[in-house]
Amino acid sequence: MTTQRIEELKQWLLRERPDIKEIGLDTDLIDNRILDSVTFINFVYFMEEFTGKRISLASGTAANSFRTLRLIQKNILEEGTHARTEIGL
Amino acid sequence: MRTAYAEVLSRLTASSVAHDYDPRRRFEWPDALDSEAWLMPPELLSVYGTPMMDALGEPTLKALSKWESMNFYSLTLHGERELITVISRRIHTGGFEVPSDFFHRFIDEENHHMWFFSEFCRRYGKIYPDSTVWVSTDELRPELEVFLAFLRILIFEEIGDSFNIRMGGDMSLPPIVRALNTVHHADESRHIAAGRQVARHLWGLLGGELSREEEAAFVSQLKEYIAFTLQSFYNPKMYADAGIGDCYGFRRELLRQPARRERHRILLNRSLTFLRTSGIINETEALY
Repeated sequence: MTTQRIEELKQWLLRERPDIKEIGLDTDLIDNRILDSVTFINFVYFMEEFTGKRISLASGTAANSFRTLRLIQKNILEEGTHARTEIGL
Repeated sequence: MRTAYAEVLSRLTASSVAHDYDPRRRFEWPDALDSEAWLMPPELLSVYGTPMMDALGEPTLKALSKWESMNFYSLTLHGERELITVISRRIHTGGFEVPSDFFHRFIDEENHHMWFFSEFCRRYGKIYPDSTVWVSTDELRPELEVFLAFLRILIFEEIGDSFNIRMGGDMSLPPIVRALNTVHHADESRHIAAGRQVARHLWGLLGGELSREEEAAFVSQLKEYIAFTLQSFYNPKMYADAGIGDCYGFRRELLRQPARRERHRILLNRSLTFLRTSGIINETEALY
């Protein structure tokens, strides 16, 4: 299930950045400029919509939780490990 | 002999001192706001000019006006926290000797604004959390980075001020809403005047032109800032709080509406005119 969800997130990123051909689980989404400040927040909203969880960006290190698809899998998608999220709207 | 730059900043500092006030004594806070009242005029709402607005009934639009105003004041206070940080880092440092006296007033007034906007949100609604995460990796040389920081402040203040002017003079809004926006506009008009002086001064120090490569990076970052700022007026949480279903889809659809692009142009008009007339960016249409 998580693998399928990661694939959907990857497809969202590839739709936003049609110039990028492939995004690996460990591709750094920020260093590789796949996300900028605008696409980052839109990506967060997409994940909220997708998971039904509210994602708090209050932490100054919030961006680090989203640097790679593997980190998103660990921090956001896997149940019980999303320390920076709240369930529901 | 003082330069014209120093003269203007000195005048603005004197004006700020002459209009000094204690924010905790300045306003009369009602216990509650009329639940039937508009808290923001319909034409300032993020749905204005779109068919989606027509599909919402008046009760939902009034609820939206409450939550959009909470979002606007939340954005303002979060933005002002950042402005204070930017200015505090420069006050009494090399190159900022002339505006430093004004910077003291600026920090003081921005602190007032943060207090009264947070007070409004906490009394009558809530503060929406800050969703700003800057992830840009392009590095600019320090002088250009500082110039960009001051331009961001100017654009942020000019967008907010267009809301303040409209709401401060709208007799259909509750008196406390008018008062907050009027006081904020009075202070911000000085900040904007000073910000333009500082931006022109910094642009002059940069030699008034950039290499093609630097200009591309500079324009890209300014464009990203403008897009982020404009999109922050479409917070999906306020649509949810107003009872609008599929708040994320609603936001996406609004951002696709041609009427909203025209609204963005109006919000940015003063800033874009300043950028053009100061010779900083000629093709400002590409910025939004």
